[in-house]
Amino acid sequence: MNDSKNTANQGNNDSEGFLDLPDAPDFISLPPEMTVEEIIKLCEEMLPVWNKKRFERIDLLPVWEEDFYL
Amino acid sequence: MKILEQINSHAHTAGVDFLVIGGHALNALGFSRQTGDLDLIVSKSDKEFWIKLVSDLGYKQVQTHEVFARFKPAALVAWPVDLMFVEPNVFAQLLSEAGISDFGCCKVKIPSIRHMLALKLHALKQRQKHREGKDVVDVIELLKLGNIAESTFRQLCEKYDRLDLYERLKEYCKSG
Repeated sequence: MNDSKNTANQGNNDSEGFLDLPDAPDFISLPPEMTVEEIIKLCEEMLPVWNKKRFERIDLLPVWEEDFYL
Repeated sequence: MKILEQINSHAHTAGVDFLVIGGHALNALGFSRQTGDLDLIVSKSDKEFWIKLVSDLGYKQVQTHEVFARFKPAALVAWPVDLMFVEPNVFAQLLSEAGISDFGCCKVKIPSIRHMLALKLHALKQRQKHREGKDVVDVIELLKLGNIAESTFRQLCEKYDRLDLYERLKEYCKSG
């Protein structure tokens, strides 16, 4: 196992060890029964953690390529 | 996140492993996206432990399936918990490539990017229309984050019966 700060490894043995995951065609994955407001409230709690992760990989942040104007 | 802290503590005490998957794992990799539940993948051999643990933490099981269990929190605003059960050998594969990520409250394991891609493609294999858009965006982000080779992506798409996605998304793979 890898003790990485932010990312799991990529599993470089590219074609080996594909996961045999169980099929469940009869299982319908329904979204949680919550209002948008409730989901926002839940996610707000995690925002400091998520944003910290986001800014650790500055190369992955969106790049504004258009000319800037007001 | 209180529930993750509690789960991690109890699982650690019992010597039982788990990995965070789904939206929280994607956020842990730096792809910010909204999510409405906490998804965990666990070994089928620990199924009883997990159902008892989440129930004991005040959650009510709302969907039961051989492969999945969904739990609703007692509190109005708390994370619902979804469990996915896989064979012990598959779980061992997941653990062998897993990384550790800091979730603020605790550090827990998440799958490798390649394995997260496999989990997403496996979900897409079920061709549930209401999930397709969200899952495809996740696949694109995982391809970008993981620098996945086109040949690997093709093999994964083939394995999970979604070669159509390979044709649509191969441009996001590592070139060469």
